[in-house]
Amino acid sequence: MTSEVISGVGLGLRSCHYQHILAEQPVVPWFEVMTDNYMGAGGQPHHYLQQIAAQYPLTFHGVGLSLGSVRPLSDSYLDRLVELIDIYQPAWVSEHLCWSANTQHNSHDLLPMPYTEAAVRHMSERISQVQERLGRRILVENLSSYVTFAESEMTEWEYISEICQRADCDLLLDINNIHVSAVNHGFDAREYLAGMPLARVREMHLAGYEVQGDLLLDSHSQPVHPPVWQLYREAVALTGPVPTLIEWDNAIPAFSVLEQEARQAQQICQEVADAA
Amino acid sequence: MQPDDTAALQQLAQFQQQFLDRLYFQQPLTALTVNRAACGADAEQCLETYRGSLYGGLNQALAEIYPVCRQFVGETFFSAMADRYISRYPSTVERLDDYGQSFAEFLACFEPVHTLPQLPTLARLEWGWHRAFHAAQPAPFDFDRFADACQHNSGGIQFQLAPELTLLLAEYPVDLFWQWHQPDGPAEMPDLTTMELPLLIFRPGVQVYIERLDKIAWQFLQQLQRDRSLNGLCEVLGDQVTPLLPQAIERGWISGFTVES
Repeated sequence: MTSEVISGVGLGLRSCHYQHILAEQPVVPWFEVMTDNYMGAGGQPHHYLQQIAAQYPLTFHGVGLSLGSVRPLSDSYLDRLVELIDIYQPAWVSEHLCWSANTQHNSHDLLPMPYTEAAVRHMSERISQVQERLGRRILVENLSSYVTFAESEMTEWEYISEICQRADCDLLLDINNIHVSAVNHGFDAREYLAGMPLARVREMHLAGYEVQGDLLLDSHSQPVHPPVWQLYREAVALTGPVPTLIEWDNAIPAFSVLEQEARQAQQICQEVADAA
Repeated sequence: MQPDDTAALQQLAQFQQQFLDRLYFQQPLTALTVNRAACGADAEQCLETYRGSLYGGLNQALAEIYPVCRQFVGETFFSAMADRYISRYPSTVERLDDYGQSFAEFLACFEPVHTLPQLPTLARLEWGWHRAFHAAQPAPFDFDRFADACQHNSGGIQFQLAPELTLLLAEYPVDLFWQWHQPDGPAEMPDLTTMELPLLIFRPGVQVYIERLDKIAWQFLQQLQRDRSLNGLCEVLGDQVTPLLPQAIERGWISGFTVES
């Protein structure tokens, strides 16, 4: 299905739900596909995704591009991404404002950048390279983070705003990540929202966190927490209705739990619209 | 690029080198200074959160690739063993699917599991299964074109084996052990007495298959891994090719062919 129009609250597609989706055909406006789970050449992941793509609009969400790495972008990764885009025709492609690998090793994780002019320049140049290679604008997502660096020269929202402007890319605003980082680093989530280039927001993410010692951990293993729902309400009031995704990656529950979370997000959007 | 740009990029590169060395090997991070978090966590706690996330992610990846090995030794032991593997073999691969290929070799040298000599072979079986699971779906075999090639240019025929097909000369009946650990597997634990067992792991359709091979089928596929040509096959196996070739095509061991002039 060519997915030009994405609206409402979508769900992250996870392999444990393939058969339920195909058998029950639940009413879900769109699914977000973790692109890195389909980088393989074939097999069951593609067998199921092809069937789901025939029935639902899709978006692509990646974790492996390592946009902030100093080592060169991977041609083979980008080539495969282009192939997947050709096959599945996602409405858009998103990635994280992070780095994952240096010249020797890969963390396969979302690692933080210092908020410096050099990092802004590097990241925005790399996003431009990717957009040129893909022939489309991409969405970049704000991270949750557990460190800040003394050498940072600007706030996170200034850093992201500058990157989006220079690369002329769109924004995937992860509300849970804002809350997690705000608690961990002691900034005001409302100030963060106000400082973001909200006109570029094309998608929001909602997920659950865990408490680990003094830190909040972006675990995607829980229902969305009340303060994140509240922040989402405030974000939607600022941006207007934006396609929103429920993310759940660990201890994945029954599909009906995800649907319930989606209904709650939809209800908040409706309440905000009614109040406007 | 300006000199300032080059210096800034070098500093960023040094930071990224040190940061991953800190996470993998607990080496010092000096290129940048980590602040104490406002929530109260000190720099070490903050960095440990990333280390825990990295090790947790790779540990989970290994658990998904080697689920039967994990059941064999127990979740807690597997997790500790996987952490040792990760620190010794940090990921150098681009895709997480490609991580863990050397796990069997690691297990063969990992003293705490020397009392479980079947474990490295079981890991090789699971790696083969994992590779076959993600392998490309070959196009249907073109019998008409093959018949034509046999008639006009049989000397140029080069076969293609099923993508990511694995031949495993197992020292134990790990195929039975693998089946025993499946949800619909047999109830009784198999006898894991030493025996030499030629196994084939491949995926002709959606499902991955693990098959026992007889001696001649093993030789046939080994020969094709060495030399893909029909001529080579006939030279080594002679008349035995006649019954084996259609069988190999029918079962999906051979997925296609090319004709070289």
